[in-house]
Amino acid sequence: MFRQTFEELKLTGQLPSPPGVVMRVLKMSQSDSHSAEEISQTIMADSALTGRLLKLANSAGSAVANPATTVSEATMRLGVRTVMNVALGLSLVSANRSGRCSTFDYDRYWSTALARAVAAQNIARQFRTVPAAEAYVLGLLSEIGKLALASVYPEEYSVILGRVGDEDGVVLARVEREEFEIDHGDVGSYMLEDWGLPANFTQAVQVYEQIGRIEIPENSEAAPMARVLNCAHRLSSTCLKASAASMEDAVELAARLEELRTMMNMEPEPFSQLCRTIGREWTEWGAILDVPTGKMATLEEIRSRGEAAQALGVRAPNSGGNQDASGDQGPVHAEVVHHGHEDGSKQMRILAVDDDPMSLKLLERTLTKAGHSVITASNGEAALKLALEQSPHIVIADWMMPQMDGLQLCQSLRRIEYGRNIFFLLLTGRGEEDRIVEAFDAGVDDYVTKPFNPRVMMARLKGGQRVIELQERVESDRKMILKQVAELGLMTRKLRSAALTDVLTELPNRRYIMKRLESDWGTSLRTNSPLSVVMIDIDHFKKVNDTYGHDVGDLVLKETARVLRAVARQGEELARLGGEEFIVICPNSTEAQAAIAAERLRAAVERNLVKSPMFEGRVTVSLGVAQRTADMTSQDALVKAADEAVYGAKTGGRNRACVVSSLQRKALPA
Amino acid sequence: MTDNHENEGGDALDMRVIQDLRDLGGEDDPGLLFELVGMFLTDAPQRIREIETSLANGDVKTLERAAHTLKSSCANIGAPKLSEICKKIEEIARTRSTDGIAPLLSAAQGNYGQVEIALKQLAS
Repeated sequence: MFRQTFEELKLTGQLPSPPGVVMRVLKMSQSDSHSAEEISQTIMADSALTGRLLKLANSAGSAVANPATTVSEATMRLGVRTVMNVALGLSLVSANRSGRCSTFDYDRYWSTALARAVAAQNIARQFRTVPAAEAYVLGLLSEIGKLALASVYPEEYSVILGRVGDEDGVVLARVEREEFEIDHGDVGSYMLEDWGLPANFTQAVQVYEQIGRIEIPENSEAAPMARVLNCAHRLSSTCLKASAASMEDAVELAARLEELRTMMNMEPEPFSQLCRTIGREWTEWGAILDVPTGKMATLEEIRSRGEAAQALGVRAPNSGGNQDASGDQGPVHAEVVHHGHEDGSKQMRILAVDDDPMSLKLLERTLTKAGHSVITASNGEAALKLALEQSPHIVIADWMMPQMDGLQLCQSLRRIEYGRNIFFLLLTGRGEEDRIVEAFDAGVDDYVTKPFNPRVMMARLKGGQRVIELQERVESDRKMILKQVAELGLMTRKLRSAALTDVLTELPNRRYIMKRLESDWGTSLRTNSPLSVVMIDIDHFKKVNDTYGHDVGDLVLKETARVLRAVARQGEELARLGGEEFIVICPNSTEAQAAIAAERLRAAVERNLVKSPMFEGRVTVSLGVAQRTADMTSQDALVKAADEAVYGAKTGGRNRACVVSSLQRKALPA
Repeated sequence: MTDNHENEGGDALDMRVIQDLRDLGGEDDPGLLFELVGMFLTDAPQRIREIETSLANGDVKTLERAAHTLKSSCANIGAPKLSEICKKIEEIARTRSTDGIAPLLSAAQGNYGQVEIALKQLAS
């Protein structure tokens, strides 16, 4: 049922999707009538994407000496499919850098995804078992299911993340299935499948986390990529953890890396080199894609820290408070001052910005006294960063500041979606009032001249407060509407689920299976693959009902359904058609293969002893097997053929399976 | 408040501003005034030196900025006269000229001396 759930997620329109250019390219590739050249030209239309794509294309060994400079060249070297997958991955990053889920850390998500992508690319190059560019894309997109769920159900997912976090994928998946009837692994692999990535790769995404816990058959097509992803995952997450780890943890992390190195069959020096390369390229890509990257500890650092910890034998103090990982951009004050005073009006979070320390102090003090929560910065760059991190309601900034002045800060804020809702109050000097129009043009909401009169400041702030409160009301209304729409969707899905399920046996009902058959019929035609069905009819059912009553009849139905469900395999679609009839659809199966399945089902039903106070006995079924043939015009013809085969089984003595082709040999009417 | 010395700084310092700052600190932050005074007494001499130096080597941009900053600080601490002088310096510097700044600078230095005395007295 997961596939159906996924289709409904798609209908919400909220799933992350690649932006315009790439969507067009994906559609072009599906229609088969566009040349590689046309596709290359379409990608070229997006210059940012082109640049990033070429960087990736040129980072393989042979290309370094002779880099591709156009998408067409890259396409010729790597193939259209690879180029498209790369374009897909890169464009998804830019299009989804932020979103609506409040506890989802979008920055950290993409930061770790990028680390994984770079690790996978380098490891793929090392092992040479899978194409490096594809490994990059899969490393980047392997967790996209989480992003998708956060986009479609921001509030519910927020709650879930708050409860269980996303460190343990297995635990998270279980909770996701309870809430949404689908987990992030499935959503992710369906999305990748939709975008045209080959099955062996999308399967790899589903299983890579579990290598070591479950057995992946060696000759499975997904195995090489799964192994690469597994190594990439372990390497990148270990090195990332190590940067912030205490000395105690360093010992464990060093051991993990050693284990990984031996598993990958590499000597210490090349392995060290690999880690260093990954760290370096991660930073480079971070700059290109505008994703924050921090420090990835090198193997030597982890090892020496671990050794030091062991030598000391005591726990070393953790380093520093909030290390700013992405490089300093000027002094930042991040003190948050909370105050108990409230004069009836709501407490606001205010960001105060001034390069003059005295003015800043005065401002901060004035605001705090009025009962607001204040954070400060002494330059525009730092203020911008703080605004993004702490989401203040109001920004009060001095106009005249070196490097980035108040107006530039305002303009930068207004450019991002969150920043459009902030109330921006500008502090002006006495001579600047004639330029105030310029300020309003830049997006400023109001101004106060310096040195400011506290009462005037408060009055201006009150005005701002009203605006903020109005905005918040609108926003909460909107959220409520969206939530109701999503709930409606969930409820509709549950209802539909109920309407598609047979109450007595809990199997899918006729409505569901006929729709399913229609879909399978189409797929079978399109892909030119065989399709068979097995019709199942309980023997002597009327007699049981008449002799023992309807309760026993119901029991027989339930028992038969239970056995059939237990024995039916992955891929075989079982349903109750009605009365005493069941059907199994066997996609990608010939009549002979379906016949084997039918025999399996028949035997299981026969073996099962039905026990109840009023009845004890064995039930048997008659089965009819039919395969789609060229002369059948629709799935109804297939069902009809299977029906006739059931009749053949009944007349042949019951408790057996009969195939259509045997009937034809006996020249019975078709 | 009836001290004789007070009159020397009387002109230079606006006591209403000082009182406002005391009130601003209130009970939660009684040290606010002295913190600000301390900041001013450290900062202002540096700004004045900056004006001196940039006047000497004709760096009008630095001159303008230093005067602007000092103007703000003076206004904040309640030294309106000094603030006014700085404003004049700033305006001249903005026109990319240094004509007439020298005498203003002298006046500023003199006035600062008085402000300094008055502020230090607050502590006593």
